[in-house]
Order: sequence, then structure tokens, then C-alpha cells
Amino acid sequence: MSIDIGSILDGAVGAAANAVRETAPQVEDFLREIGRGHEAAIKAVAEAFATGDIDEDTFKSEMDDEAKTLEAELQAVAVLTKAIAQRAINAFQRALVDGVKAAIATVV
Amino acid sequence: MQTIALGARWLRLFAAIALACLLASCSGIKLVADYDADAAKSITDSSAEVFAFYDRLIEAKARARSQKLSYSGFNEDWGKIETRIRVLMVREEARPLNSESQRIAGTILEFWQKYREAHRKNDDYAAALLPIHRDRFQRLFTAALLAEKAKRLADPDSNPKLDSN
Repeated sequence: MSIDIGSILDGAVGAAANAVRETAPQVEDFLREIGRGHEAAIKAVAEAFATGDIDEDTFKSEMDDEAKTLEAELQAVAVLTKAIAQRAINAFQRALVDGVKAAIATVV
Repeated sequence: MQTIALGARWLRLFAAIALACLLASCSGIKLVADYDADAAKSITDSSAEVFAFYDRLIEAKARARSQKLSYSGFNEDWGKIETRIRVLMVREEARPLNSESQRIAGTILEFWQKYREAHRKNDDYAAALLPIHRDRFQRLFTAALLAEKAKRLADPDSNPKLDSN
């Protein structure tokens, strides 16, 4: 009996890499969107302060809120990256199990 | 000699079957909570109420720009939507492996209470702040919804696109 574990591992790594390749670009898209939203918000707050529509205390408070908003948005990025990692790990594990099962089936 | 070789072959086969059984028994790694369609709906429904509320505030302020935007005219809506956001928060807190969504919901609730208290205290809402706050809530609800939809990606059989239904 001979099981080519190297080939099975290659298949499993390929499955994991494929899972990342098809999902990971969405992290970059969302990061760009976050950047654009943050920039627009900072501009709006700065303009309101410059034109005297809000006072200095309100300006500082708004900037604090902006920082918290950015932090919250990055929490969503964290979920996205964790989900992609979970997808890849489980695709790897499944390919490994299927590969070993198939190899055993051929020799039993 | 032949008996030893045969024994080694059976040992390897047994080891391979044992390995297959061990791998098959693994239920998979879990890093995030399962996707919850009801949670996603709750986020979109809450966001719709928040946007409609801010739309009413912006319209009311535009109609009487020089006058104050009295808190009493909006007290009920502030309270009703705060209740809805609290329910959203409770739902997120009840789910394991969900700390990120809990923090996003917590930030939404914190800002809602902060802006409500400022409106109550000043008995007015600065026209310049209304669209800034509406857009901020929009970004937070987008983050909350994306965090929920991202959980669906964790399943290797799911559609790899976030915007898929």
C-alpha cells in the first residue's frame, strides 16, 4: 500500500489558496471604501468648523467620533479576514480528508 | 519474513484508516459566528429607521433654519429607535465568536445616545451636523451588515462574493 501524502498535501494547499484568492480581494475593496468615507467625513467636519457652524468642543467631539467610527469599520474587516481564514482552513482540511479517503479506497 | 512484511502492510493500512477517521471526525475550525439572516435583516431594518429619522430632522431643520429644532417633536422617535438598536445589541451579544459585531453595534448605540442627549440638552440640532451624523450611521450600519455577510464566506461551499444574496 502506498499513499502519496505529498500529492494530497499539494491538493489541500491548492484548495486553501483558491479559497483565499477568490475572497481576499474584497478586503481591499472594503478598505478603499472605508478610506473614502473617512476622508469625506473629516472634510465635512473641518468645513463645518471653518465656517463657524460648529464650535471647537463640537469639532473635537466629532473628530473623536470619527476615530471610533473608523475603529468600528475595521472590526468588520477583522470579521472578513477571519471568515476568509476559516474558509481556507476548512477547504484545506476537507481536501486533505478527501485525499486520504480516496487514497485508502484505492488500496483497501 | 513474509509474515513480518504482511504485518507491516496491515499496520500501515490500519494507521491510514485511523488517520482518515481522525481527520473526518474534525468538525472544522471555527473563527467567526455562523451567518444569521435574521441579524442581517435586523441591521437593514434598523438602518432604514435611522435614515428615515435623519431625513425628517434634515427636512424640519431646512424648513425653519433660523429656529431651533425642538427635542420634544422628536422625543418619541429617538426612544423608539433607541429600543430597536438595543435589541440589535442584545442579539449580537447573545452570539458566541461575535465580538466584532458586538463592538460595531455598541458604537451605534453609543452615538445614538450621545446625539440624543445633545439634542435634548441643546433643544436643537445643528444643521451642519445632521448630514454628518446620518452619513456616520450609514457607514456604521454598512460595517455591521458587511460583518454579518462576511460570516457567510466562512463556509467553503458558499458564494465567495460578499454582495451575493
